[in-house]
Amino acid sequence: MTKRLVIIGLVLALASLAFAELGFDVAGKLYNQMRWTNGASGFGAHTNIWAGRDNERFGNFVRSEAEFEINATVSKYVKVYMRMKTIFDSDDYGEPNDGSANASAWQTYWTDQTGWFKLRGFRIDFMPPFEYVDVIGLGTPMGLRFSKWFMADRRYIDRDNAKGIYVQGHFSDQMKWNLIRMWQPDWQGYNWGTGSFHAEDATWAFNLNNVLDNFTLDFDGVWYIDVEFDPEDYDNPNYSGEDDEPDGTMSGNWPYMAYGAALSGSYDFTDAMGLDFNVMMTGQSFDTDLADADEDNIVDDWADWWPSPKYASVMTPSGVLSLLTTDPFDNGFSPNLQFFYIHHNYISYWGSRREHDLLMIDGGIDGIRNVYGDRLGLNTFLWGGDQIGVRHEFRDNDFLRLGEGLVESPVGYWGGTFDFDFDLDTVTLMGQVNYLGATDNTGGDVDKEDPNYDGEGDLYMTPRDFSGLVANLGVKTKVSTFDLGLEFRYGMWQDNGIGEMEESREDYTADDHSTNAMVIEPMLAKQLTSAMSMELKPRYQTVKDEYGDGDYESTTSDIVISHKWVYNLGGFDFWLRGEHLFRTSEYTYEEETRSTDEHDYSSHTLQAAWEVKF
Amino acid sequence: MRSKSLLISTLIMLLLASTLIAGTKIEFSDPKGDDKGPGYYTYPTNPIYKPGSFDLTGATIEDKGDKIEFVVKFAAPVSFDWGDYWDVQQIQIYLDFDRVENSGYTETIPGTQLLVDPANAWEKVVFIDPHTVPKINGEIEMKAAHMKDDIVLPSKIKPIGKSLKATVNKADLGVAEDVDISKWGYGILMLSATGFPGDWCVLMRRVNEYEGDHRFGGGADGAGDPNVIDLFVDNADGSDDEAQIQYDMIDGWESGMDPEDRSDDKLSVIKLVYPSQ
Repeated sequence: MTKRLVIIGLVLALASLAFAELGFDVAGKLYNQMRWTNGASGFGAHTNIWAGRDNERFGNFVRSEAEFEINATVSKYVKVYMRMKTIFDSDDYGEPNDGSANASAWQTYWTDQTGWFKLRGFRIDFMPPFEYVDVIGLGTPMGLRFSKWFMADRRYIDRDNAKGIYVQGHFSDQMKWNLIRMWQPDWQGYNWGTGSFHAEDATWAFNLNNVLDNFTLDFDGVWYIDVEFDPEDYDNPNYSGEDDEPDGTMSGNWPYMAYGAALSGSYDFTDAMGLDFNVMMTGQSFDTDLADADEDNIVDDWADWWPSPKYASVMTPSGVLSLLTTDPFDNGFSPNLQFFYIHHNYISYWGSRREHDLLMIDGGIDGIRNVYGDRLGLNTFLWGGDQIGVRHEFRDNDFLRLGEGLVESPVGYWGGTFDFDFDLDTVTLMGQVNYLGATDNTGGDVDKEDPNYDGEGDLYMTPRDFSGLVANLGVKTKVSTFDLGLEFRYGMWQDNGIGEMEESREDYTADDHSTNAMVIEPMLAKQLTSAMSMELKPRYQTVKDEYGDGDYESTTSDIVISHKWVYNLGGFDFWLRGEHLFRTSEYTYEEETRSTDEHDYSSHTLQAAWEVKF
Repeated sequence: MRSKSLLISTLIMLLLASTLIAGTKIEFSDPKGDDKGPGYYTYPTNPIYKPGSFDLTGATIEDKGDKIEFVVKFAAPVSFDWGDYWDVQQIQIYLDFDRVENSGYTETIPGTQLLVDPANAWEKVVFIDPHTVPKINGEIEMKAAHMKDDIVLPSKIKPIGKSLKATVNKADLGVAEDVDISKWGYGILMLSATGFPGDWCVLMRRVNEYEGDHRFGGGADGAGDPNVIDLFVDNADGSDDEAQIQYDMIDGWESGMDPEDRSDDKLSVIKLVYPSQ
C-alpha cells in the first residue's frame, strides 16, 4: 500500500514538473446560490402581476457550480484553454403558473442535469509565424469577438454549443482585422431551428479596425446562412421536382440567410469630449418558394416568438450616435447625449443576448408588452436592466446569478438620452432624461405606399402609436462613515394600439394603453468591518395603467425593502440579498357598472451566494 | 415653472461654486501610445481590452482640505460589462511623504512586480480597484498582510468617461490637513484588474510571455516581469522622451520560468515623480 502511494506521489510530482515546464495553470471555483421565497405565488417586486409567475424570477432553489480552468502554454506558437463546469444542480423550477414549483422543498426536477461536469469551453490559440496573421483560434465562442451588436459573448457555451474558427491579424500597427467562421447551434435559426441539414450551416463574420491618435473606425460584416438539401435534386429522398436527373449526390440550396454590416467608430475632439457612432444595416431573405407561397412578403408560418422579423425579405438601417464627455468644464460636470434608432426589423443572431449593455439609457425599454403579451417595459425601467443586441425573443434571462438584472431588447425603438453626472466634493448628482418612440409608429394607419398593400387586404404593417418619457435624478453623499443616496424615477408612456384595428381602419381604442410610474428610493450603505459591508434600500413605487377610454384602470403601489450584505475573509466570498415587498393593487373596470377590486399581499425573498476561488 | 427655474438656478450656483473652491493642484501628463510597459508589452486579445484602456494620458492631484482628490485619465472610456464596478483598470498611487532614503517601503503591492528606488521609499499607497471593499481587504489580508496598514482605499471612487476619480481622506493617509502635497513624491501605476488573480497577486492581471485572451504578452510566464502597463515618469510633463524613459526604467527585469520560484527573478526599479523638483 505504501509502495503504491509512493508511486502515485512520484507520478503526480513528475506530472506537476512537466506542467510547470509547459506553463500549465489550473484554477478552480466553487459557487453556491440559494434562494428562498415565501409561498405568495412567487410574486416579487419585479414580477408582472398580470402574468403571474415570471419564469425567470420565481421559486426556491439551491444552485451549485464547480469549475476548473486549465491554461497551458504549449510552445511559442500554441496556447490551450479549457473550462469544465457544473450547473443546473438542484433547481426547483416548475413552469410558469402551472403550480408545479415546489416552494419549500430543495428537490431536483431536472434529474438528467444534476451536477454533471461538462466541457463548457475550450480553445486552441495558434500563433503562426506569418507576417500578417497574429492568432488562429479554434473552439467555443468565449468572450466578445469584435462587435456587441454582431459577434458578442455567449454565457452558456455548452447549451449554445457553437464552435468557430477565429483569425486575428493586422495590416499595420494601427489596422487590424478579424475573420470568423462559426458553426451555429442547430436551434439558432429563424424558427428556433436550422432545418434538418446542419453540416453546411455557417456564419461568416469580418471586422476591419483602424486606430489613430484620436480617431477609430471599424467595419463589421456578418453573414448567416442556413443550407438545406435541394428538394428539386433528384437524389433527395424528398424529391419534389420533375425534370432533374440522378447524379448520386444531393446538392444544397440556401432557403434562409441573414446579414449585417456596420460602420462604427469614435472621434475625440479633445481629451474631454468625443463622438461615438455606429451605423448598421441588417436584413434577411428566404427562399420565397418555400417560405412565402402567397408572395405577400410575410413568412407563411410566422409566429410571434421567432427571433427574426416576420418578413420574408427585409433590409433595414439602425444606428447609435453618442456624445461623451469627461469633465469638460473641469468642475465635475459631465454631460452625455445619445440618439439611437433600432429598427423593428433589425436582426442579429450573434449579438449580445445578455453580457453587454449597449445603450446609455438606465433600465430596460422592452415595450409596453413583450412577445407573450406581458407588460414588461416600465417594470424593467423601474428596476433597471441592460439593453442587448438581439430581438427580444432572443434575449437570455436564464439562470441569473445573484445580483444580475434582467436584460431587455431595444429592437423596435428609437430614442434620445440626456445623461449627466455632476461630481462635487461632497455630493454627486446623477440624472437622465429619455424620450422614446417606436420605429413602426404609424399613428394607427397602414402604409399605403407599400407595394405589398393591396388596398383592402390584411394589415401589412404593425400599427403603433407609441411615445414615452423616462427620467431619473439621484444624489449621493457621504456623512461620517455612511454612504447616503436618494433616487427619484419617473416614467410615462402610451401606446394607442399595437395591432388591432377595425376594418374601417379607424383606430381601435380598446387596446389603447397609458402608464405612469414613479419610484422614490433612499439608500444607506456602510462598511461595517474591513471584511463586511451592507446596503439598505427602502423603496416606494407606484404604477398606474389605463386601458381604452378609461374603462379599465389599475394602480399598483409597493413598498420594497431591499438589503445587501457582502462578506469576504481569507478568499471566502459571501453575499446575502433580501427583498421584502408589501403590495397594494387596485383594479377598476367597467362592464355594466363600474367596480373596483383590491388585493394586498406581501412577499419575502432571500438570496445568498458564496464562492471560493482556488 | 417656478420649480424649473429654481432647479436651473441651483445647478448654475453649484457649477460656479465648484469652480471657486480650489486648493493646491498638481497636474501630470504622459505621452500617448506608451501603454507597452517596458516598450514591448501587448494587450490581451479579447476586444474588451480596448486600445488605450491602459494608456495614461494625465492626472490631477488636488488638495481639498481634509481630502485629496486624484483624477487619473487614460485614452479609452471606462467600460462596465463585468466586474463589481468598472471592468479592467487597476491603479496604484505610491506616496513618498518625507523624501528620506530608505524611509518606508521599497517593495510594491505583491503582484505588481516592481521595486521602488530606496531614495524614493514610500509611506502609503492608494489602491484603486473595481472590486468590493470586502473583497479587496480579503485579498490584502491574504497576500499583503505585512503592509495592509499602509494600503489605503479611497473613500469614494467615481469612473467618469476616460478617467477614474478617487477621493482619499487625509486622516486615512495619516497626514495633517495643512500638509503640502506638492512636496510629496508620486508613483502612479496603471495595471489591469482581474477577479482571477494568481495566488501571489492582489487582484492584478499578469503579463505572460505570449498574450492570450485575458493575458498581456511580452513578459514572462514566471514572476520577474512587471505587471505594469504604464506609469508617470521623470517630470510627468508628457514630453515624448518620457515614453523611452519609462521603457528603460522598467526593462531591467529577469524572470525564471516558475512563478512560484522567485530565486531567479530580478525586479525592475522605478523612481517616483516629484512635482516640486
